[in-house]
Amino acid sequence: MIRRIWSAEWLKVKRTWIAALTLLGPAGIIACLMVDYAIRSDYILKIYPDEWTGLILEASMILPTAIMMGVTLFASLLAGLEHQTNAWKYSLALPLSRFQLYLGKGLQLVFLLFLCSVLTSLGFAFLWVWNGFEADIPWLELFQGTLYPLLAALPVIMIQLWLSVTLRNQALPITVGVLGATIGAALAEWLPWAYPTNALPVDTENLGRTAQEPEKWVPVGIVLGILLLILGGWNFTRREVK
Amino acid sequence: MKAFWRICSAEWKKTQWWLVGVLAMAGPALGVLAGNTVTLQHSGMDDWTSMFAMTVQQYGWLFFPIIVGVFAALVCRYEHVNGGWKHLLALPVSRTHVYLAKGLMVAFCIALCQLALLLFFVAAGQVKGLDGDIPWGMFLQSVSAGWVAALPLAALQLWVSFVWRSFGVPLAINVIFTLPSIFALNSETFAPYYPWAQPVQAMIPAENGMFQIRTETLTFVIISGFLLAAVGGWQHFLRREVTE
Repeated sequence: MIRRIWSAEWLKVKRTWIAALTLLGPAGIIACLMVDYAIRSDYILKIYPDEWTGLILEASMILPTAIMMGVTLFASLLAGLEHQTNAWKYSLALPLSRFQLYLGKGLQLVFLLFLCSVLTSLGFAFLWVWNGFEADIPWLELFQGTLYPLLAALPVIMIQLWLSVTLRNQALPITVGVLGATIGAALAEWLPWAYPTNALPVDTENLGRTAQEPEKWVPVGIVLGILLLILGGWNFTRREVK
Repeated sequence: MKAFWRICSAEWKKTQWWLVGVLAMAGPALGVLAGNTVTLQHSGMDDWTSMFAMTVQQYGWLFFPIIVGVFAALVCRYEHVNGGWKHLLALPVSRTHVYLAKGLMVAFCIALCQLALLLFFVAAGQVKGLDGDIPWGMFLQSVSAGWVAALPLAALQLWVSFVWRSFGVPLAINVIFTLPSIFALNSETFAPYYPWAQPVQAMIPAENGMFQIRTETLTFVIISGFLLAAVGGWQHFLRREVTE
């Protein structure tokens, strides 16, 4: 059953902004980094011990924020497909489990973000060649670099999913997501919005920055994310839908 | 003129003020909280100025440009859901008046946000017991400059929000353009020309120890940007066919 819900969800996003955003997001991040390297590559190569550390830490200025903003937008746009056409009523009238419908949206959201992650990693590889770095492309690290923050962002993903699905007016979910992405990380490291910022696979010991601890924040993110998905789905099954 | 005030008062009544209130206060409150957690580095500035610079950085860099877009999408939402544009524009009202009234509402919401920032910041500073006199002049100048600098963006977002029915699409456009301002501020020549990086540049105190601000260029770009976006949006709104 979940497989058919899944394919129905993909039909809905065909030729929408959601599809475009999956390409635009990663392209935007890579374009920013290309400009960054073009303007001050001497400085970047000087302050970091090696090329990979430089790349991921320069990317870290934008990557966690971009992931969380992307989460906010994708969640809002996916839920908006239903809200705008008053389609919840119809989907929920079908003989389907409500929990599975919610799960379907959640899986789709995670999968879209996963696509963005993979595309960004490929973009990193392109950047590596473009900049003419001499070392071999560190493929494993490139993929870890975007997937770790994404996995650590699972709690944020599930919070946004629940807010966007349950509230009709998207002003509040979007503002919560944007606040979390822009200010959340500065408040406290145990807040879900700080996990992606602290989950990069890089050793920052001697660089005078906050320590990156993916081995701690990735599992925390996964466990809390699954928990929030179940809680959100549980709440969704007992809501009244207009 | 009377007709215009009536449209304004209709806009006023349509607005969900509790929501605008929550949106306008949440950002400044968290921005002040985050600015507070940063330890003061005595870099020749007095405590008030240096804490203010920190707060403005948290609040103005990314959050403020995006909330401007949220307000612009919000004032158009009442018409977008349930086909309100058709109803509104079928009335004997001038489209210019409608456009102006919507624009004024957005400007007012942004002003509320800036006011909340000022109040929360001064309250937090008092609670923390910062030394010295409160530099009211600098604060007022900063929040009002931030307000003016956000107007080109507000006009642009209003335009985009008219065009797309979805709430998410104008916001997606806004976010895509806001994120590069993380990098734009590193470039002294490029930064004043980037509309999404203008509010934070206008707000941050002149001697902030982080960025060089070129005031003349900034003022010129803000004024011309506003004219471009406002006239463009207004003319398009006049001519656009309304189908829903």
